[in-house]
Amino acid sequence: MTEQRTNWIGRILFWLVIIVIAIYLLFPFYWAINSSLKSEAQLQMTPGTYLPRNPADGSIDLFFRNYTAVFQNQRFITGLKNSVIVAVSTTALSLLIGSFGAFALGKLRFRGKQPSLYLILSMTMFPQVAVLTGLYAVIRTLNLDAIPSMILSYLLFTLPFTTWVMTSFFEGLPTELMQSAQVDGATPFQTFYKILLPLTMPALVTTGLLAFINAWNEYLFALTFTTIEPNARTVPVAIALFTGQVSFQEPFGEIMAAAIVVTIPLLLLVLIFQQRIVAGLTAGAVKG
Amino acid sequence: MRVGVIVVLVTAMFRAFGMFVGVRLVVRVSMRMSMIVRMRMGMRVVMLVPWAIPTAVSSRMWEWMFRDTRAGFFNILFQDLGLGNGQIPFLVDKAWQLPAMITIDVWKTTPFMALLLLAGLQLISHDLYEAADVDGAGRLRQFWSITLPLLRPTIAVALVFRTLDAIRVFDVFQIVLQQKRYSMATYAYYELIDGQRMGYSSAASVVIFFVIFVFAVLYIRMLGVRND
Repeated sequence: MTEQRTNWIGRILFWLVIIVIAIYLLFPFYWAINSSLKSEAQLQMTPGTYLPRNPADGSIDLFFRNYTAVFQNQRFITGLKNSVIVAVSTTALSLLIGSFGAFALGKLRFRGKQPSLYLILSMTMFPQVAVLTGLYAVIRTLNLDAIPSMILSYLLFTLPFTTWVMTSFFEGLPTELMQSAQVDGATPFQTFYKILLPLTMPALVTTGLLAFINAWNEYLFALTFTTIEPNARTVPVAIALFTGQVSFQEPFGEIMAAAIVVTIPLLLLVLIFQQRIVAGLTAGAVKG
Repeated sequence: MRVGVIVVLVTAMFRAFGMFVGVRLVVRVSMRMSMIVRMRMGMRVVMLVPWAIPTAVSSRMWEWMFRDTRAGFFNILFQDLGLGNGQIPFLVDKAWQLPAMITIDVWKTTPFMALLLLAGLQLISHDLYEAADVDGAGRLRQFWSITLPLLRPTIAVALVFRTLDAIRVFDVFQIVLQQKRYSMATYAYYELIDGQRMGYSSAASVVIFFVIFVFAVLYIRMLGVRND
């Protein structure tokens, strides 16, 4: 009897904790949506309202012009384009190079394999700030444009991760597959390309997804390398430096609208691929 | 130079708090999470939201919530709770800057930690808990004697990730505080871009690198994780 009751109370407490956490995690996002649907006058209301309300009579009053303004903002649109170019190229390159590397590290035997693996693992934790100044100097000396330099420098953090996760995946594939392909007269490259690579599809999708999200969200390199080239700014930089077309004040309604526009595709990705993302995120860490 | 030292200290404090709050919160949450399977999916999506939003974007969302008038959420909240006059300048007042940054960083990174620890929890065999039940060990005892020791490697990894992340924190500081207060990374950035002092900025970067390195080694020693 008492045991059942404590069980019941425990359950309620548990759900309360879960609900509180969910609200805590989602609230900033909700507040941004709420603010993005307010006009400048509604944003200046004190106290701010939990739903967009009409300043005069307090009725609910949604304002959609922030969204149209965002899509007419040339800098934001350019930013979206740049982000797509940079993130897609980074993902493609790191999958290509990463799967080559992972095949070699996971399935072939060569001298210096263990050190290379450790080197790659330590690179996944390498702080970007530490190489910022050096990279900046290199890029200036080589006179590289901002977009290729972003793509190349993003490989610094996407490639080690891709290679690391893919390597453990390749290791898990049965060696008999390779051997039978060899018996049938396939070259190592054919074995890799025609037999093993299709089998690693799940890992490719997972690592590709994470590489894409990381490249899409990157800020430090993007900000630094586009300092003298504003047209190459990616979306995070565009949002961080967002200014309105006319008003002198920071247009927080539009900024919030832009923030929502950028976040929605990522949320869709998370919704569809959540299981894979979690698996990928924890892949390197737990087995460690 | 003095600024540099202060910056190191600020980041250290920031790191310590952010990490402490993050880990504490997370151990509890993920303990609970491993118990219920059905809602895991929904919760997982919710937990991935802060992680998936670009830091640049979430920083601006929080910047808006920390506004110094009652248009900002926190001033509304504080006034509703009877604290402050609704005009607290969270991002200008020295005393409020770090708590604000920690709030943002904990929000942003706790989910990732929880997911890591959850993955670790799922590796612990259920038989152990059943055996403990048979032996009459209570929940708390089970947590201390089974969960915590077996979760140690995972906690170590999570701590390493979190510390390294917090030491090099850049996006939040640069966007929300600009030059009002530096983290080590934003200091290196402003020296490089605004100050055009490439050598000095490089030196700062190297210092950051060594601080991170020392912490990584310390942690791995401390928690007794060995490479197998």
